[in-house]
Amino acid sequence: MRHVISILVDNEPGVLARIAGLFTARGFNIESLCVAETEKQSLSRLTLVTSGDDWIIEQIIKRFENMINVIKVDDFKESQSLQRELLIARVNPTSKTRSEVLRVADIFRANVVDVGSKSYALEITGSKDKLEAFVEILRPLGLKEINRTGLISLKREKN
Amino acid sequence: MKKFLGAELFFESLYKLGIKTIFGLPGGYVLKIYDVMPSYAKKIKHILTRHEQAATHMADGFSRASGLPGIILCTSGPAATNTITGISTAYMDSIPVLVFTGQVPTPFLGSDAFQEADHIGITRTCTKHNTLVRKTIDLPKAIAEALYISNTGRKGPVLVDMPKDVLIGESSFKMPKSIKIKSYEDSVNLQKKEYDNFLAAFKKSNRPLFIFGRGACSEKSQKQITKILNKYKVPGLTSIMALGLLHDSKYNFGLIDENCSKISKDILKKSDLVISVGCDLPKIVNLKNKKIINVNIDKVDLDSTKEGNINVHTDSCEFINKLDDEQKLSFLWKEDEFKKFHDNHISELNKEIKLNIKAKIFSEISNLFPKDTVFCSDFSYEEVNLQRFLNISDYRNNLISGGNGTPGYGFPAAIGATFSRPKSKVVSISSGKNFQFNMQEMIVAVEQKINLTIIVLNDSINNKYPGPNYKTLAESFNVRSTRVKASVSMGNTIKKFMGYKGVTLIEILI
Repeated sequence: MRHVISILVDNEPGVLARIAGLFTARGFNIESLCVAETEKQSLSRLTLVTSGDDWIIEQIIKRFENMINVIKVDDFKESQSLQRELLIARVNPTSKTRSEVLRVADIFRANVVDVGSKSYALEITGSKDKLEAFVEILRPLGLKEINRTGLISLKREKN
Repeated sequence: MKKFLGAELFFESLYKLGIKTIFGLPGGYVLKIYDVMPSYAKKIKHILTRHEQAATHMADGFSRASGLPGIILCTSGPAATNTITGISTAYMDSIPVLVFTGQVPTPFLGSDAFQEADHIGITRTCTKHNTLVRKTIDLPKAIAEALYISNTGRKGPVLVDMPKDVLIGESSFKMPKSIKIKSYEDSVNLQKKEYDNFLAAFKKSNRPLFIFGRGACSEKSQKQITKILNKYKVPGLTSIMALGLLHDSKYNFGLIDENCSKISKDILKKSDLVISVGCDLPKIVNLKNKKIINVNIDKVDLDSTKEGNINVHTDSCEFINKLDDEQKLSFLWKEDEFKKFHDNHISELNKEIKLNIKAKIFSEISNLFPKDTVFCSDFSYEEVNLQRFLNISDYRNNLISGGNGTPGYGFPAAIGATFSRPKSKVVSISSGKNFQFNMQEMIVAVEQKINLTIIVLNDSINNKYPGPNYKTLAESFNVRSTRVKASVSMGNTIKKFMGYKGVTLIEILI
């Protein structure tokens, strides 16, 4: 099962390696990983997407909680949290597809962030599914390269 | 404010934290510490070892035999990598050990400098925590925190990496009065709901059984456990790590392990509820179709996915304390049942003593020594659980590498134990193969003028790889030694050697 794990850690060197080490020790793959400072400079939030057996994920989470530099661990369910990802794509359209790219961008509410004589750079945020659909549509229109941030998430307010 | 060198701060901090003994070996990047050592010699005793692995085992043995934290000091690179086996041993058995390593000066970190290794990276998976000190002024705090982390909660080894420029730098001595780490809880409080769940299941059960591990061992809880077993009249088993905990109880039915003795199998079969306290049960024995209550301080060892299990996440000693206050309950266990179990237990041990020569030697040796003797042994394949033939009267008297099964652990651990238990007799029993791992440490025992009996079981004399003659080997170290055949007269020789002061080695040919 897919898990989105959000970990609040001390903003110190070596913490990321410690956390990633637990995955390598079990031969698990990290699908995406995003680390950045939080509202407090001394803390970082690490959002990690992985999939695996529930029992092992639970073990990993417990071990995260045991780490000295880890403050809080959340295993988010899709419905409980906001999940977003940012993607930048470079497209080299032909003269025929040039306007089509802009139309697609418009439909997906993507922004053009760079324009050159041969290419556009587009920026889009959204869920994983939305980004994947966007990429698939751009592919025949001359998609050159993409880069994504990996998922970030925030807990929804409880009702 | 008075300025101190980093190296002086190292000793000042340790002294303030109540440390009196450290084990170590000098080397390039920690030379400053050894430079200032003479002026602290009266406060802190340094024991010079011959190998860093042995130093770690000594600190580990020092800690196991007394409950005090064990301290190691060594230099970087090869010295630090040598300690890994010892650190891993302490980590597996949750022993509070502090490892101080030297490191290349901070500007050269990560440049493949002479004797450089990434200590933090290497020990990440075998320490409870590790830290690199970057400024001299931070050193006292780092040491205090390391000791605090190592010695609270589920205990474990902590490594502090000290670059050379930190040790030769100057700073004032500032140590926080109390340590609080935001992201670390040093104790786990007993949740009433979990405890009530346990109590309900306990009251409902007919034949409950207690299994104790190292987590349940403390001076206070040892007495309470004996009291609890007497009060409820229920049987208790221990893991190899807690052997000796139930020594004074008549409801002690020995060890539980993966190749369970018959008696523990019988008791397990009859019981309808297993209460595991401070014990890593699933890794020891397979208990399918049994209702289990698991009490552990570490939630990693609590399995909440299995249905029907009750987990109590707390310090085992606190749990025992609470259970001690409960009212009396009666269960279906009968005294004559116990008597049968007990008789079976004794006859089973006797049978094995007859069949297994090593078991016989272990049991004979054990009977020769006084009650409060610390036995240090190894845990190799051919010696699995021979410790149960020893007369171990306290959980601190059985020094063995349980989780890691480190060969060659027993002998250096015995040296360490003599420093924390100067009044007790200390015996190291190993096979020749295991003894060879750390036999160079004999010179340390001789230099330190400790009283130690080393027993080496030489079973490979007629074998393809006979190994050295341990008697002459010991003589070259200036250790009084003898060689005997495993026979009836063996006892007399051991008795004679027990009387001698200093280090003695008895080689027993099997």
